[in-house]
Amino acid sequence: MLILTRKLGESVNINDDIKITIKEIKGKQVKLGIDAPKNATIHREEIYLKIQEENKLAASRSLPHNLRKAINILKKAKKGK
Amino acid sequence: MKIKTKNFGEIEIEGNKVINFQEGILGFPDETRYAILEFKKDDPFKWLQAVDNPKVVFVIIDPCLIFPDYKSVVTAENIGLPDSNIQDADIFTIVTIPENPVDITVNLQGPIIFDFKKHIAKQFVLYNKLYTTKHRIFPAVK
Repeated sequence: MLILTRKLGESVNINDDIKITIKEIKGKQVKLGIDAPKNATIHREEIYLKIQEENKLAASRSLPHNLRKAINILKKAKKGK
Repeated sequence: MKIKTKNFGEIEIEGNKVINFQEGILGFPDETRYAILEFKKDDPFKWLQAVDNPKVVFVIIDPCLIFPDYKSVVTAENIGLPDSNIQDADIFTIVTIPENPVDITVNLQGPIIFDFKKHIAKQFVLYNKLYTTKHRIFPAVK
């Protein structure tokens, strides 16, 4: 991993079209400003990983008999109303 | 065209029903072509099957059927597309069916937005503190 030291207000450029600027430093929090092309995908890592994990779990459980059970419960819940 | 599915063997779909996920679905970067399979018109649950890999399939649902306020939160701003217009877009969310189906959940943090006219779709990350990857469909369990 490349490690660079930057001061408040300074930036890092990646290729010609991505620029990351240190906008604010407050205790343990750093605010970053990111200029990138529209088609660039930028995510907060922990949320990105959480969705990946959920997708994998969802794909592993996508079986008709599982769904049928859920639908039956849904139908019962509706009748109960 | 014929596609192999995880749950329903080999089935025939119309070629123009293939939807391109240019970036794949998060965690599945290699699968970029999917088809929506529905067997009953009024069934809220549908299958999102990868066309080129039978093992990859998701159960999806129109989230607004369960969470009517959801669509108003999925704004272009909240999914990181401030300059786009997604008001008329079709939104689906992935369902997870755990061991106990009563605990079935919907991933409202990772909505999939479809443009059926252009045959393209993408899973987005919704930045809104109200919604997570696991929202119960049945709120109260006894």
